[in-house]
Amino acid sequence: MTTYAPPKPGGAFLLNSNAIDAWQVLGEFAYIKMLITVILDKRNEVLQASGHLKVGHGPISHELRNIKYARKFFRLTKSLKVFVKAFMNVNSMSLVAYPVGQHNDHFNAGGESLENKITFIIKGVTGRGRGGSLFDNGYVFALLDWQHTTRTARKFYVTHAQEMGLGPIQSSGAQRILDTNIVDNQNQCKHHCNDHQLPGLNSLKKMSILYLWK
Amino acid sequence: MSRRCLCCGPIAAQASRIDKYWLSSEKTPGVLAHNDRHTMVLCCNCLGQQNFECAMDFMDRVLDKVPACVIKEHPWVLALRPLYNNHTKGILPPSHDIEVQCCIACSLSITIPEGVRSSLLPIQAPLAIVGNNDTNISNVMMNDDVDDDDDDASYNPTINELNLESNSTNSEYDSYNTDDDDDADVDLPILLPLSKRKRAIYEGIGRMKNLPATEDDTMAFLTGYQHCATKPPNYKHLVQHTLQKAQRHKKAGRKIEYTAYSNVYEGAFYIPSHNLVIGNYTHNDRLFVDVHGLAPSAADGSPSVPHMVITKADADAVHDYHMKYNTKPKLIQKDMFDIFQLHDVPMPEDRSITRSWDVAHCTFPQTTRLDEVNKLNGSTHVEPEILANCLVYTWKNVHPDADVVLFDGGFGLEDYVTMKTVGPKLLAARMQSTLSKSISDSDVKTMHSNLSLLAGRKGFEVTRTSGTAGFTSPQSHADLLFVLHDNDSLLPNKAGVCTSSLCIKFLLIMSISHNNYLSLLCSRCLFDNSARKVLLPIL
Repeated sequence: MTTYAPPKPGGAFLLNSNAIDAWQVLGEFAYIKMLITVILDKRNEVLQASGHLKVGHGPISHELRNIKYARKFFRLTKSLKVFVKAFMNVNSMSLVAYPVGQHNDHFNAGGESLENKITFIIKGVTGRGRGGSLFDNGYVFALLDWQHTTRTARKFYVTHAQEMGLGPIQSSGAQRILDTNIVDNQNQCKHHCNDHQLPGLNSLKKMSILYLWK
Repeated sequence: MSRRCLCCGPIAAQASRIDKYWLSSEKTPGVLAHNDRHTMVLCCNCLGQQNFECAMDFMDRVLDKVPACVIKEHPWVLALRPLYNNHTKGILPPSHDIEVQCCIACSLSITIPEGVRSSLLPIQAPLAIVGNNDTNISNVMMNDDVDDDDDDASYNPTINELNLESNSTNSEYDSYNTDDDDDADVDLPILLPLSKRKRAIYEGIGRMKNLPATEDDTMAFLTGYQHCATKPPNYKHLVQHTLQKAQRHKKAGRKIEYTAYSNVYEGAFYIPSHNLVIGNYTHNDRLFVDVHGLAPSAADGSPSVPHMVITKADADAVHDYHMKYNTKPKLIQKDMFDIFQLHDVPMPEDRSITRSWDVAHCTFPQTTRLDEVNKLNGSTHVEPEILANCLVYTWKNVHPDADVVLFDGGFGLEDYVTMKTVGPKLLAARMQSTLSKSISDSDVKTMHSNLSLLAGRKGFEVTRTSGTAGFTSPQSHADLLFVLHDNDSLLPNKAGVCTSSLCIKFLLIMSISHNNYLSLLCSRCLFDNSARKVLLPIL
């Protein structure tokens, strides 16, 4: 028995992060999500200091974790492109070209994430798409992204977990490795960033550069 | 004349298994053609026939696997259920054929009224990616751009054309003994060459998955965010200027792009629990980015907030409502926002680099309980009276002094949520403009055509059952047949006979593997341009 929703144009996909070379706006789109995340985090600090409750604490902390992960690559390469690509690798995208019906958002395995959205317009195409152009013509579609560890990133971590000093390879625990060990090792990494004494760190640097620049 | 069963007859032969099928059928001709002494279930709609034993076998599995509530109104199940009950008691089937209004193959398409066609368009070959060294995409397009008509012709051949082709050009089946008298009326399956359109699509998908990287740091311009403001452009000026320009062009007899600005409700993000409409005023020269945090959170215990996008029909309805009652959209006034400056906000790439942001913030009280709102999940329609009472944020009242606008929503009406423990929800955060102010129309077109290849199931979303795609309707049924027609892999490769059952938000396709033979949705679809390709292998 197979369940199908009413078919609509678009759908979810995993984007090769090299696509930002062709369309820089996709890289900027991902970067703005990080910008808004740090702004929201800062606002939460202010709110907490003044005795108010935080807003969106759960998804923000998850996004911060991804930013910290991407920041590690920036620290190693000093390249904003690598930084953005690293962040994109833990996100999945959706193309939406229709007005969505009323629904609730849910992420896999009860995960939490902010959902990023940008809309574009195509002129000279039949139909309205998602709708919402400034002027009265054009087909509008939206791109959205949310946290998702891509198979490529997961495979990378599973394959190189030992070399990176992340413990034994756990094929099913790649997400946990990504979420916890990488971040937890950040201080360690930061401490040894200059002297390259950790074999795991050398390996991480080598692999990350190879992986992200290839 | 042989009587061909939908399940195990020759028209049910799967293309990839046809060789085996024909070989085995010579040994066991009873499988090939049911003779007159078998009781058949005859479909009055598509004239399909099904062996009674096959029907009982299918019924047995359907009743075993499918929840009773799903199939309680299924016409085929209702018609054959009494016979199935007798069958299980060992009572012999009637000696005459049994007529049903629709069979397992056409129970979906019978619900589609005449004249309802799919609203979807097939995914097209990708456009060339500008700036990418790989030029294969453009080659494909240049070579194939004149082949669309031919492509369609080969893609949607008539039955007569198919038969002609089968006799003359398809060497794949030359070895089959088509002169056999018993099988003379059996239509051979036709394997059409893979269309150029599809080949271009497959190549495009492969290319998108293996995009090469360049050496340049193409994202270096993002350092501009360390100091640049992202205040919104003056939309009123933009609209006025553009429309005046259009009028001048019109007077000069030139082609004009715009005649008016859009309805502010169309395509807007609507949050019913907070009576809030966040407008979408897309323009490729004025980009902005929204971030939403509406999913349930385990960290702070906040529930999910339902939301939707307003359709053009609803936007037009609320526009008419305003005209009728001489009212205007309730725009969020500037003084409703609390504007402040956030200092020492770190940059994402480096915490040691900080900057200040001008932030406008507004918290919206809850107006409707979430359980009441959730009852309408799946709906794509909102009453104009409701929309007319919503607060609206759009280009007309965009906050000019803020880089980022934050919309928070409280949970004042929820019993289980106390404001002491659960903070407001982030309904939306809008970065009012981006550093790269615009993107060319051709780039957008190229990006859309290439990303569409990767999206969903070959360009179509068919698996979101939360209500995003709306409720099922005759239109959605036609769309589903279209997608099944266009996508080879949506149904299991060894799917047997199929039937469908409707739920409010989705369709259930019940397919059962049946001796490796394939029978698919509807033979009526042969004549109404739906699911044709699905049926090609079994013609």
